[in-house]
Amino acid sequence: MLIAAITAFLLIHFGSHSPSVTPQLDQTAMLIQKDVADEARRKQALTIVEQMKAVAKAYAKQREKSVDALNGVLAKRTTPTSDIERAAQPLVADDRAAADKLLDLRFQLRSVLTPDEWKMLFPAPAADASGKRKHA
Amino acid sequence: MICSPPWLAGLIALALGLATTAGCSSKPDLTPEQQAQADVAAYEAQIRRTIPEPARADQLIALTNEFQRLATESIASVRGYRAKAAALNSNYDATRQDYEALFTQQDVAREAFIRKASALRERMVAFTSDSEWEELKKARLRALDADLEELLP
Repeated sequence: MLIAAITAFLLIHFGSHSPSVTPQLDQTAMLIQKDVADEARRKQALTIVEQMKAVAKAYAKQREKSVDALNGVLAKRTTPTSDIERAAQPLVADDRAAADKLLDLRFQLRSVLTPDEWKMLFPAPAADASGKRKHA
Repeated sequence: MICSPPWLAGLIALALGLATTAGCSSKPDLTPEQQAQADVAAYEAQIRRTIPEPARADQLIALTNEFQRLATESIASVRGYRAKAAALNSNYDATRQDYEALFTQQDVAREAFIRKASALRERMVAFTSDSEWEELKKARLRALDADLEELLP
């Protein structure tokens, strides 16, 4: 467990940005259908969300491979830190690249929605003591 | 708005999976503090069973305690980051610069964590043999279970 815990904590840190800018996309699409009355903008918004899903899916697939490689490296007792760092580089780079794409799309989505619609789609988080988001 | 990737769920499930059997022996009437003490004692006992030399076992237990402190700091950092990211996601007026600043801040925290965790890992490697390392993969650090679970949505 300790060794698994070290691995888990490393992996949490190696991929922190993309998940943080990935909304719950299915829910977002559902709320767009419900809350965006203007058809043209609704279609545009749904297209953007589909693009976000595609980015998130591709990232998850790529990440799985990189995580497997890193896990293999971490499992060996004698793996030097430099090898761990080398194996982690793709994770960091992929995470940042995906986060950048998702941010582009996030701002595209914003450009087709009004502030009131945004508020309905992404209500302010009511964080509990652990910092986890609670959904209204 | 915030979600954890599926690979993390798998890894944590693996990490926590070892808990199932041992967890069944927990006495339900222990206070959380007593349970925590019992967990630490059980973990230390497992290290001492794996590493028969007291001096080396002491070193490894000390390193484990150090890692627990580092993990606790890390959890706080990740929680804070996620809360800030969630606030940005909800903010219609958030700018790209706001996100960049948050990413940079978290990158610095990540680098610091990785540097410290890698150093601890290297020291653990120095105090163990291959077979002991394999055996310690089975040892559980229950105090971190809840924290790891908290990182899941």
